[in-house]
Amino acid sequence: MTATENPTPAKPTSPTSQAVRPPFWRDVRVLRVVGQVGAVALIAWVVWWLFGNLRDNLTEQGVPTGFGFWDDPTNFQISEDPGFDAREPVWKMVLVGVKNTALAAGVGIAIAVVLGTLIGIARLSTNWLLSRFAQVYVEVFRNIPPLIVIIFFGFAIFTFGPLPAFNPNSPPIQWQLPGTDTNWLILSNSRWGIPSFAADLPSAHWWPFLGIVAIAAIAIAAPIAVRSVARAIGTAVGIIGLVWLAPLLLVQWVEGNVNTAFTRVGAFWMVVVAAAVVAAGVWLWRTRVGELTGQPHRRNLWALGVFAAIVLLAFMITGTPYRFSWPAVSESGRRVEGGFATSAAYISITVALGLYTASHIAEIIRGSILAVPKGQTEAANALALSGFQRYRYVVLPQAFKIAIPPIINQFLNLTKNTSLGIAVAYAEITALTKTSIGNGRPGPQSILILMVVYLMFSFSISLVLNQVNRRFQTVGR
Amino acid sequence: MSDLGGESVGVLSAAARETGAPTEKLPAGKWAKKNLFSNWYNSLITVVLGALSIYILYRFVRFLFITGQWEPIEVNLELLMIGLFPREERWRIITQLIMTAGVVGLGIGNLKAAAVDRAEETGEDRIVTTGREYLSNYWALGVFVLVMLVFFTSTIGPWLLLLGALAIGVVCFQLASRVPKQLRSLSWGIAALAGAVSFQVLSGTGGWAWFFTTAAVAPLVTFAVRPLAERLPDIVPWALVAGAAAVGFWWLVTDFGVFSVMGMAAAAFPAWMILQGDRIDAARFAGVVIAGLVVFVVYGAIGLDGVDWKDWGGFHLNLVATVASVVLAFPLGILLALGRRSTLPALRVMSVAFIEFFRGVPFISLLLTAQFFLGFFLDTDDPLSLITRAIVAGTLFAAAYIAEIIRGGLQAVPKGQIEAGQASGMSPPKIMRLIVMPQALRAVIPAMVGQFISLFKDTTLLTIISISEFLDVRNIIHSQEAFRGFGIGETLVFVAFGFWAVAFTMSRESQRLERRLGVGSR
Repeated sequence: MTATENPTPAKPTSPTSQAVRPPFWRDVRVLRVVGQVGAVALIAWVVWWLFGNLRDNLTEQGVPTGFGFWDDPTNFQISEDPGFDAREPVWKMVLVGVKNTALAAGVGIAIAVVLGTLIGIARLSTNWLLSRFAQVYVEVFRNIPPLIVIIFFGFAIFTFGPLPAFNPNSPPIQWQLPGTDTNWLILSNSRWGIPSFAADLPSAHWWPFLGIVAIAAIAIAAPIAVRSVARAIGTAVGIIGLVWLAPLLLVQWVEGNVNTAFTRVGAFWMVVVAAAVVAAGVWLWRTRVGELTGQPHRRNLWALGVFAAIVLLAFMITGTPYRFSWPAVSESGRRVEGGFATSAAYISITVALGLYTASHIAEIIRGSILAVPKGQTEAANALALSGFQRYRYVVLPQAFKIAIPPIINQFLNLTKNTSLGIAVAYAEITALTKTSIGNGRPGPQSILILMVVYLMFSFSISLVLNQVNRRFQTVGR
Repeated sequence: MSDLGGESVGVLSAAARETGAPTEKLPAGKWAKKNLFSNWYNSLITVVLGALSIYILYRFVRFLFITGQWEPIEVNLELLMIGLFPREERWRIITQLIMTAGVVGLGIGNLKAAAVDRAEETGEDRIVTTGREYLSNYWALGVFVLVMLVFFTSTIGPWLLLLGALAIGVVCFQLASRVPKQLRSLSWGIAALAGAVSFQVLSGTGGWAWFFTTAAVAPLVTFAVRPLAERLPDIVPWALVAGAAAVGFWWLVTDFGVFSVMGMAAAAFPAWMILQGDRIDAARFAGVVIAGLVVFVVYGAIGLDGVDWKDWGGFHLNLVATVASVVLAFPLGILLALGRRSTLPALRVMSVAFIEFFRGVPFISLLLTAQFFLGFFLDTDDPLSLITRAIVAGTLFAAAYIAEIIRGGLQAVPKGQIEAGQASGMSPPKIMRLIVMPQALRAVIPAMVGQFISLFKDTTLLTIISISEFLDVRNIIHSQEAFRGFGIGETLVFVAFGFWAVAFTMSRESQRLERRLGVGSR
């Protein structure tokens, strides 16, 4: 090709004027811009075309394209939540779904972490039988689709299990405190009841449980926290609390329900999250003081004290939004009154996902323990630490450091897998969305909301992950 | 996640092998003392777990052989395997099975031949997989197949089919491992083509068939175009570019839409490559585009009939849907991974947005999209079948994960490799294609297998949008008069065992690959 004269003159200020710029179609700077504009235009055009088709097709089918259905009545009952009325708006249904998803994810994660850690350690035990047992567990659960595990637990515990039905003819098993007729546990093949702090309002358990998820994140992180991680978790939990709680509270405030129990419960939990952040700060401060002065820092005591004080104060100020209640069988003999009632579906999904994810976490833990250099174990032996001490103070802290990022990824997987609750009719957000679409709500918008909810969960968890990753990278090994 | 998971698995297996390897034979008593009763709490664990294991084993064996009601499976085995596939078209699946066995044989033979060559070149010993290792990897799949043949079939046909497929596989393996080095890519091409044809026999020429065939023909075309392009230096690449432009124009005229833009891009890309000086590669690329056009037109003209995959089902569907999703997602995943690592901010942002979106939402939400309104995104009166829509959803979902895996592989390629390419004057695309990509892709094979397993397990979710895959066939079985509420646990166990056998075998194979490729050992 012939080198034509460059249309754009070279900059006169350039000190080295010997370089003639190449023709514009070979000029990298031009090509970069052109390429990007072209790519963006192409993608924008494709997206525009796709959504144009969607809009046209929806209009043709007579499906509304707006979000007007948001305030319409839901038109169906939620078996999981007896207090939920069919006339309540769709957005409240979404909130109930989010609550149930968070509830399944939080408890499932707790089961998975505890069990997974134990099995991961058992996998490396010198006891042949124990390590084989753990190996079989891991290989079985890891390679079966989680959906099948969930359905299986639905059968194994409930359909074919030994538990009685829950109706007036066949009362559930009621375990009572000795000497009283107060139940502490109600068992049946469709519903279990446990004591709980119940809020004044029946259908809005979702605030507390989001709070509990946040607290659980701290509780899981705290024992393994090095200082920087505590700060990271504190920040992350604070941000997550605000991301989740603030908009919901704002909705209440805008609608003028400031003084309802709903708002008070929400405000209480916001303070709890804030208290967790403050407590993390106090913990750091006491650590610093301890380092600088050599005085005993008593950081856990301080942090716990501050946390408890703030929470207690908030509890008083918001007008004791919770009271303790015991589960009881209702007069009709078909429902659990008081306490906290869980359904067969909920237990199947949490247990199944917990066991399934535990097999993955066990592999991560095992890999991380094996990745700790052998010299560390030898050093611990040289110091005459006992087997327990060696694990607790030398091997596990280093192993957890390696294991935390992939484990948090498993939390994300578990949270997304709660959407399988649809298979056992657990009323989490996906199942409710599907029912809602079946009831004539427009599909695209409903699923968009569903996806946004999951993206918020994913965003929250990857925020923690990124914080942890960054801290661990700067520590350097 | 998958890459991290895969990585840790590799560390394990390598370390476990090291520690587990030198076991001296101890007498039974001493062995038990050392491994079971070394101190009081170990003894306690042994006793408790021993009792528990014996109890579980007892219950399990009793369930398998005494209390289990296996009639629903015996009667409905074919339903479980192929769903509602038309019975008179069964020969298509049998043909596919036999051809697939041949393709697998060819593939393994090619790999073996390549390994032999490499060993000769470098003078190192070739790692030989022992029969024992094969047994420990494949026993689960073997047991699954044998259980079906022995307990749930009564005719000789399935046995003959299995033996025939095995025989074809072995013959193809022997043939492929004797192919000389120059013809290796041809051999790969034949294998890929055979795979595509086996798919064709099943599905006819509708739907995505032209795409799979083009992908399969691509290696043959690139193999054939090279000597041509070398011999006729100036005209051929331009002619091929012109041909590709014609393809784009043709699409533009006949059907203005996404395809026309893709066609124009397909023409513009080789032109750009010629400007960059990559004549031969431009010719190859354009050749593939033209081959794609030819295949598309020929398929449109001959219109072989087949069984559209809306009629597929059972275990077969799970396997095909997984393979189809991964094959379709792979190129998209490579593009997304490159986009995410690009220095162009616009490309990077769009890739990140795509990847994070699809990784952040659960697969079910995509399947619900597929079920309710995915077809509405297209301007067509002929709605896509539900399975097609589900596979599109699976493809998009898998592409995001594959992109992340490949990105991990790209990051693992040492910078010196790129610098070496630059030092020898290669263009950036060429460095990417000839130096970085091969190393990156080789490094991510185990993680890709992991992703394949995870997608395979996720195909159970198709049951939620009422596609009759393996798990969903249970619903059909238990709606039959004879088996209503009968053997529910048994069918679930059988389905779980099917998934478990395939997933377990593949995960063992991926661990073996990892050791072979030396990915896990650092």
